[in-house]
Amino acid sequence: MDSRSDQELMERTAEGDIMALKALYRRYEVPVFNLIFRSTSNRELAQDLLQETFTRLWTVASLFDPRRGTVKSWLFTMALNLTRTEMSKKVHDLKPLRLDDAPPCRSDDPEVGSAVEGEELRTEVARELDKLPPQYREVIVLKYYHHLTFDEIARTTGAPSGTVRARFHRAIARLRGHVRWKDFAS
Amino acid sequence: MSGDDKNPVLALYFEEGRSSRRKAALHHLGDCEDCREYLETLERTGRFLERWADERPAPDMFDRIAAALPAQPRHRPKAAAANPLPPLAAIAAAIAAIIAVLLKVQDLVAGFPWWNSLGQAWPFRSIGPLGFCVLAFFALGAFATLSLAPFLYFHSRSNG
Repeated sequence: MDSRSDQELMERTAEGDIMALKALYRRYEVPVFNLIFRSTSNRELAQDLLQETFTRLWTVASLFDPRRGTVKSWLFTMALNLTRTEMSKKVHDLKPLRLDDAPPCRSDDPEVGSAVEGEELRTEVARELDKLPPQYREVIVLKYYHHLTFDEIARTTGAPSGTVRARFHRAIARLRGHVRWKDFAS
Repeated sequence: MSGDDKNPVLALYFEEGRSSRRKAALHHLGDCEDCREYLETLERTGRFLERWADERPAPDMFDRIAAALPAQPRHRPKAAAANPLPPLAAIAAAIAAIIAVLLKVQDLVAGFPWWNSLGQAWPFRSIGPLGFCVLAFFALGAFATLSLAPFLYFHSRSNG
């Protein structure tokens, strides 16, 4: 694991150091990939957009300004913008996640009785997220999976903080209308 | 707080914002069935969503990225001038210089013999030699801009 700070790696990347870009990639591949994957429910598309995000990072690394935010939020913003642009083309097959696209089962989850049941649950999550409008979905993903504050989500998505909270409330209301709540009681 | 405003419940559940606000929300929950239900909804949503665990992209993904890099243009910031003037100061200096030149030219125009006859005609009588110089300046500026337009257009096209 590279011990250099994100900012140092960005400076080296801006100077054309591909190993610095690789270190940034290793640090952020999982969060950026999962952000895109959960926003699109399409593994192939998520991998293409992950590639495009880091290619763009290489291209515009010299424009990074640490006073305006962290490398992570910059990467998230780039990934979300690319995802929005791609999804707006509406050429992708947005059918619910196929079982072979689903992520691996969480072995420590006692509620998951079998691998098949686990896959069904994960597919159900993707199906429910698919029902949300993109702006609602990205707020839910950034909040629950990436644990950003509402102000950080506002900066990342470019929406006012109040709008982000309003989208979150509406997303929760919609999920509540669809999800089998009895299965998730405490 | 009111039961209609669910933001304090969000602050409480996600541990955001001032602690006094979170304490007030916690106190409010004791009296508000609606907010207790909302808090439960947030918890259930979290339990539901955690079924979709993190996963990794393809192991060779960085090789693919690296292979795509040489073809990418690299953006480099333009080198800053040694002592760049702030834009407003530069604009103010340019305006002051133009006014100084116009005042100087005005004296020259007033001394020309043809101005004696031209200056009597309307509208030059009312605007005087300075107004005449200002009009001439803008007319020349417009003419120069229109003359340069084709060159600037083709120059910008050739630079992408």
